Amino acid sequence: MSLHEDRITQRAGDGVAHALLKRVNTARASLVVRIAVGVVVLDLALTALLVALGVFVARTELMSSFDNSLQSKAISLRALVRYDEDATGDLIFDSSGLPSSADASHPDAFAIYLSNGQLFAQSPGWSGLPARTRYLNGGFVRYFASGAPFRGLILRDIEILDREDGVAPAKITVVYAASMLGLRHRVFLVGLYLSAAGLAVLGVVAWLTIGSVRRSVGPLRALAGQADRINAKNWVFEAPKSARETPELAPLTTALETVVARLHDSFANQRQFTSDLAHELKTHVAIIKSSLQVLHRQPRSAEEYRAGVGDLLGDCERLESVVERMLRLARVEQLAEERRGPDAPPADVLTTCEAAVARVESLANSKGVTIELQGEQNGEVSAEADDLELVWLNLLENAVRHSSAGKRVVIRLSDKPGNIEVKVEDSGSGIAAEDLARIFERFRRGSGDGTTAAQGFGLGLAICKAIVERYGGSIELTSAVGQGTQVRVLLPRTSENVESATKLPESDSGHSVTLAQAPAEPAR
Amino acid sequence: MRVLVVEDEKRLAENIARGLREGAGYAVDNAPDGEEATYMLRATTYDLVVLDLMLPRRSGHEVLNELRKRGRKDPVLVLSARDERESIVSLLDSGADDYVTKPFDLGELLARAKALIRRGKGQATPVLKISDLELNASRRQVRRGGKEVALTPMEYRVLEYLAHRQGTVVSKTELLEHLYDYNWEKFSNVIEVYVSGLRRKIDDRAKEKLIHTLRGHGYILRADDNGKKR
Repeated sequence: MSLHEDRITQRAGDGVAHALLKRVNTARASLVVRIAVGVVVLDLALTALLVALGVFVARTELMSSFDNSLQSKAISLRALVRYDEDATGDLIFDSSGLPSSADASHPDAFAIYLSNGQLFAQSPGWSGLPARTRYLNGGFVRYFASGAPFRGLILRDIEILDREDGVAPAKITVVYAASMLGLRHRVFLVGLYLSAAGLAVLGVVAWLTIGSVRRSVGPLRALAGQADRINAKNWVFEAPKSARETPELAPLTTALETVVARLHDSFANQRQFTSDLAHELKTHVAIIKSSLQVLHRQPRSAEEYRAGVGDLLGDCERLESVVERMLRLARVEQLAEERRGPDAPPADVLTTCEAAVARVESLANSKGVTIELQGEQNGEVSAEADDLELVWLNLLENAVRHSSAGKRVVIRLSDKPGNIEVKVEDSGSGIAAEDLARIFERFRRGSGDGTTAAQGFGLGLAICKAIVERYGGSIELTSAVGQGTQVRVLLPRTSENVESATKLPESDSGHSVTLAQAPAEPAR
Repeated sequence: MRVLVVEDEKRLAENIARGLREGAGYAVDNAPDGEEATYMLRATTYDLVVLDLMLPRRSGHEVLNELRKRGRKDPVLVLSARDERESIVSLLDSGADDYVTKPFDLGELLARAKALIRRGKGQATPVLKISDLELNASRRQVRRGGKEVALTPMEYRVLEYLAHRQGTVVSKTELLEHLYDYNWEKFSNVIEVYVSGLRRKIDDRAKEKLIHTLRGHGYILRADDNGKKR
């Protein structure tokens, strides 16, 4: 069925659909109703066509036999006109041999005219052809008489059958007409039977259609049922076998499965984040509260109070920093979801590195760690300078925290084709293999060395990853316990040269964590 | 009493330890991660374990499961940042004795800690009675014959431990283990000094002697009803 036809049937079916809709009690025409109505309307049209055709054919056939009988009856009349036995040459009409009428209530009418135009013989009540007679081809006429349609045949100037010696056969004109009521009735019956048969077929077809459509919608319902069961607590989506095996539904099934899986991941991720966040905040609040309670439980010396307040300030600063980092991460991740947003103005990488080094210097000094900035190469990348600075700051802080006094932390810039590479290296405690795999996850703590409580992890690397990836870069971490850690960041250089842009690292390739694990050895 | 605090947040561990030392006179050790905790729990029997759940290297759940699997009965008080019913139920099911959710009240934590230790020693109330000796563990008060006895913190700790284990022999090693944390140097003769101090303050002026020495075995705190040898 072409689209065009489909539309027409649908429109034609709307009225019927409306009536059906009420019974089905759906707000909108369901697929089953639409298809059923479409089929029924189409079938109805076909039935109507069939009936019309049947009636036409039947009428033509009946008409032809009617005409034949009319003709033979008219011709038979000429045998009834005979010469009188008296040999006067007069003609007589033998009414005993008249053909019988098919319709008794509307008997056949006839008239015989002689060649001089004189009415010679006629049926009872014959008063000539009515004024409104229609003359048709082949000598046929149509007229109404006594409330019935009549069809007649005029045979002009035909010779009578009787012969008289020496006389040219007399010529007569015969008019013979019969009622068409019988014919009409028969045609009507033909139409009636055909219609009845058509409607019966229509009913069966409609019933079968609804049944089969319902059955074929079954997998769809099953699929919807399964999909309906998905909610925040239940992420099990097993497409029903029937839906999976229906070719039309397979793409929908696959799409649903993909969407559910993706949503699940994202939801689980969000939930994990919220839960981690709650844990982190509660822990920090617990620290502050317990610090206060320790101070409050018993009278303290001024010295003890001073020390306690100092500790509390430190506790508050850490809470503040957690909140700040968290908000930063949320912002960066949101921007990443909005697909980079408006392109950031070019930022000078070296400048941001210098700023980060300056900010981490006091921490480094207090731990006796030296920081070295290497690389003259200068280049710009499309990124917010603040974001870049935060990346270097986080990386440097981690490096410094995991280094012992006298060690060196190096941040090195170098040019790579299309990219600017920044490496942060330390020769500190390194990261245990079991932590390395999940190092970029939020709130993941490294084992640390117990005393520093590994404060640097948590959010720092997750923020770095989010920022770097947001600007189309990549981040990679290599570490060996006891030897140190190396973080390598690649950022696409800002350039008018489009060719270099094709060499950008794929932003969605994610981070790669490479392991260069020294022989297994506890981190402590 | 000796408590192990398993908590990776250094400041929180410090505060809990300080609260337990100052508020209850307990000896406190700290384990900053799950593996360290397991290691320390293998080496020492604790009167109470305060256990955080989210720990580096080994989760609190695993530490707890391992402890119970080895048949250890040390009371465990869980520090949880989650208060979802499910996780609490699963915790109690896997052998935790009690829990507090962060941010907790230090006073409540102490009260629960004391209650757990008491229960762990089979005592239902914080007031322990041996004949006319009365020890109130929640107030850290000692009375003999209705009169308050002033004890030094260490003497009190020795008496509290003996009172919780009344009627059973407590060796010097056990006392050392339960009264000192890792930060202290342990000398067994220190115990003798404290016990003799206690005897002087509690038993000297009373007819009935309560602290008994079983030479080569240790000490026992019990009512001297049937006049057994000291």
